[in-house]
Amino acid sequence: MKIFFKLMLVLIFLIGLPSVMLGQHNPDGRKVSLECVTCHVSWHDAVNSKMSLLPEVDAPIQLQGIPARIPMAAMCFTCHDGTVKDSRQIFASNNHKPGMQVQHADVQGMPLDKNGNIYCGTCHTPHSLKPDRIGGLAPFLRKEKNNSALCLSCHSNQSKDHLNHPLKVKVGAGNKMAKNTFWGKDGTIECMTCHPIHGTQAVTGVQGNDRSELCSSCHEAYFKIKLTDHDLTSSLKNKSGTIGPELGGNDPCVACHVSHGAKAKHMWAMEIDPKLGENGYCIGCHSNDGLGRAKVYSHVGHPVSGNLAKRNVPALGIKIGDELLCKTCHDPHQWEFSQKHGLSTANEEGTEYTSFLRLPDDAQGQLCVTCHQNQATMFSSDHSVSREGFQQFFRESNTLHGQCTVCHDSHTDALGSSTGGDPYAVLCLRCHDGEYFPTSVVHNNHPMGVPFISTSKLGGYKKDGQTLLSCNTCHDPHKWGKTVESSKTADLKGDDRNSFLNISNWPEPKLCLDCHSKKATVLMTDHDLSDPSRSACSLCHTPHNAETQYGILARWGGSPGESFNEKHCFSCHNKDGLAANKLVEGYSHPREFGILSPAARGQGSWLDFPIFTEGGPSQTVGHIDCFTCHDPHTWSYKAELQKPGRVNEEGNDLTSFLRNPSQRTLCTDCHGENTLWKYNYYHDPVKRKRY
Amino acid sequence: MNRALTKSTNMRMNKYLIPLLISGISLGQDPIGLEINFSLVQEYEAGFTFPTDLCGNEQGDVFVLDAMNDRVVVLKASGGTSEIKPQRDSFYKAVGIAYINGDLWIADTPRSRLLKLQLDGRISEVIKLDHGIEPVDVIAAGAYKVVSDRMNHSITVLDENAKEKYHWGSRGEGFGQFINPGFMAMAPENRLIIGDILNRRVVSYSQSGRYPQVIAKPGVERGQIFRPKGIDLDAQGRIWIADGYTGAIQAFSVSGKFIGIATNKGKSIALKGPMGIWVDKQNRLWVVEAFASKVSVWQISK
Repeated sequence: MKIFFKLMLVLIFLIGLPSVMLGQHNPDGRKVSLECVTCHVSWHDAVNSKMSLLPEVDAPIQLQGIPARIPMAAMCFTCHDGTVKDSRQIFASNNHKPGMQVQHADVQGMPLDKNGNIYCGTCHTPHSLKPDRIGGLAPFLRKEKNNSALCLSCHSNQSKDHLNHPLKVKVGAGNKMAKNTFWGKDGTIECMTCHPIHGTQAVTGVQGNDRSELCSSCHEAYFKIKLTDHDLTSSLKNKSGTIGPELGGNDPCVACHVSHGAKAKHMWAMEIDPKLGENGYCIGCHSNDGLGRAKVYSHVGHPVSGNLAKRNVPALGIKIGDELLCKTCHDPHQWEFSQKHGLSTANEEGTEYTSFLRLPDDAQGQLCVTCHQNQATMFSSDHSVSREGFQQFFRESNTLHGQCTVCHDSHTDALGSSTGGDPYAVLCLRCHDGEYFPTSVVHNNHPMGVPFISTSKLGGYKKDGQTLLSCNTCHDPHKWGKTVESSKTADLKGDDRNSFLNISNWPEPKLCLDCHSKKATVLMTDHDLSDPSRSACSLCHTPHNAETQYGILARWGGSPGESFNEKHCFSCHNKDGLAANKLVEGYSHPREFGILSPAARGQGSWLDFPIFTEGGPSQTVGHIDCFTCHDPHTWSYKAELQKPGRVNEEGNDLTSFLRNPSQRTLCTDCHGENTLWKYNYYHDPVKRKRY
Repeated sequence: MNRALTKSTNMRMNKYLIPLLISGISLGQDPIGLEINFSLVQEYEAGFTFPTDLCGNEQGDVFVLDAMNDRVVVLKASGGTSEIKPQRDSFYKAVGIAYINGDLWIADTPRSRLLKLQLDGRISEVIKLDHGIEPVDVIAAGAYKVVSDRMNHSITVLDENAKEKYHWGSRGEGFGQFINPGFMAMAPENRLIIGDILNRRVVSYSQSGRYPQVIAKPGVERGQIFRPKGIDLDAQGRIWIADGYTGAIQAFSVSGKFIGIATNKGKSIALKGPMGIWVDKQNRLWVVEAFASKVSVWQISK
């Protein structure tokens, strides 16, 4: 029984053998496995043509000279219909679908169909390594997609950095791309990150020309540009005759940036003048014929190109040696740094708080002090805009300025509003000539606009190759100087130690002597009246609002005397004055006689014995006055006697601040041989009348 | 029951049954078969995007799973169409649909679950499937439900409480194995007919996966199958099988005999990517032509 059963099995097996022995062979005659005919439908052996169910196809692909069925979409679909894998969304997509023409692509090393169009097999082949193998190319791709190699086989012209969106850059975890977004190795951007090759959209998040959704997914911060003047979809929307790129929908990026095929770096949409360097991106529009011509860039403003940062400024993202650029101060994507400013489409005028500034020029002068730290000392001085004078001015003029822009305008002139002449004086007098400030300098100031010789090479303003004296010769408006009070300097009355002086004028009057070095002879004489807050010069002279223009003589109040000089001298030389022990009993040469100056008489310099009129010194005709004989800065006309001696030394005819020896006086013209008597007893009202 | 049913069962099957079955197939097949005339009754496009499956009810309404559009399209027996959109849920990219005891059941393939869909779009029951199952098709087997699984290449049987009772099958070419089981149908005597897509065959099994009977063997000639897709039985007990590549619709007996092929005007019909099929009481065969994104209705001649 067992033998019979076994024989039956063998018989049945042999009868059935042909059906299992029939194999499959490829066109070369090589036997292939069953797996091959899973797709290679033509490799079924001995297909009876009358019995064949193979559909007639117009195969656009030839393999080994035979129209190929495999790479046709119909074959792919038999598995990718959801029963094996689901790729229906790919078949539904018009994006890279079979039969698509390759008009704009430069196909390199990828097969096309007989019509030169793409088909599934252009990019895919089941014979690539399986995706789960090392080096496998999911989904059965001919080339790697993780590094965009697949895409660049045809689109190599869209990979050049800067002119196209960069590849292989890592995107922050905070991006808002869809969860199924394709990322390269280590989360880098690759072609398919934005271009889901078989997606329903050619580019993710792009509606028509509007890339807002896509761009904002990674560059959300830049979308602060919306509704600003740089959002041309908004600011130029209702304007006719505009120039520049076409605006696409509500895409605020498109005016300046294109994703591919840019004309300049930064994916720039417009031509840039290469001579302008990095600033060209701004000046391209902010020029006379540009889109931003309403805000034309001026070269007289803050220096940019060619100037290098001298320190690291993290707040502005610049490092030592970085070139200063428009974007150093401006963030073209952000109208106002804190985003607290409500925006509209009204093209509002910018302020120190807005204007695309990276930081505001506020009460702390945030923007400017990032570089100009040394000037920050101003913010606690009377030059701070927080002082009441400024505040009152702002209120009444309905304006608002920051610490720096109240004086400086970055895009017109470093000292804004100067239209010629002395820009410093113009600027300073905007405030110091008005009603809001107690320190107005309205009359009898130190001479301005004159050449000067400064030991320390003090500044001034340049004109015709000369440096002329101006406010900045003596003052640095950013530095109050030594603060003598424990409180801040607000509304303090200044003195020789501060007052925004370039050089401290106390205890020695170094600032005055920097130019008036010959007047240093006054030091340590009885006329050196310096005290803890006042230098030797300041008792007699005041550079602003003096009693006289000549000599900028300080105010003398109700002191006696006929002339300015007498009043000036008697302000001390009176019984209640500082020089009460040197009272002058007789004085005032008769004024009915005009006196010729030495120069007019051809006998020397008019300064040998200066004569005066009511307007000041005269080089021709005038009157004899105190300073005709006395030089208050020089104890003796003899150098050896000028050396400082003991205090309150009694004078004689060689000293006593006499300007010159008696024999060189003018007196002989009228007084002849009585001159010596008159001269010696000039201040004795009795004796001087003897002759 | 566990996954492989039992190892010894399979070994016995391999030792004795496989040769017998193969021989039986070889000896029993009619290589010619009949040409069964099909006449086109109607075509529906209805905005479909690669629909995959359909089913019908006793009233003659047909439900087409148009999952790429996240909907079921109802082709009403009374004429006209409507759609069922899922409320607060989605079955995007689902593949299979069945009408079981008055309810629509959807094999929500990518989300590893079965959904019971009400006609108003409400999803009244969600059955989460274990083992990462990606269900391709679901059919009723008495009180049980049977699910084909493209992920594990297996068949899962759920009991009346929708709990997994057992599963069987693995990836391979032997009987009891599959390379992507797809659409299924129930034949008399609880025979489970399964399209074994990449093994290019249709085989019937007992519900527990035993006693395989080849219905259609691999090939591209009449009586053979290359991409088995939709399967259904008509009132005569003929097993109709759609071939997703050749586009042919062929009939086999439950014993695996090739009965005939659908023809139209003397030529075998070649549909565009046919997938799910359903034969109604009027002996009309409804077929999803997925690649053409349409449904066509064919009258089967007597």
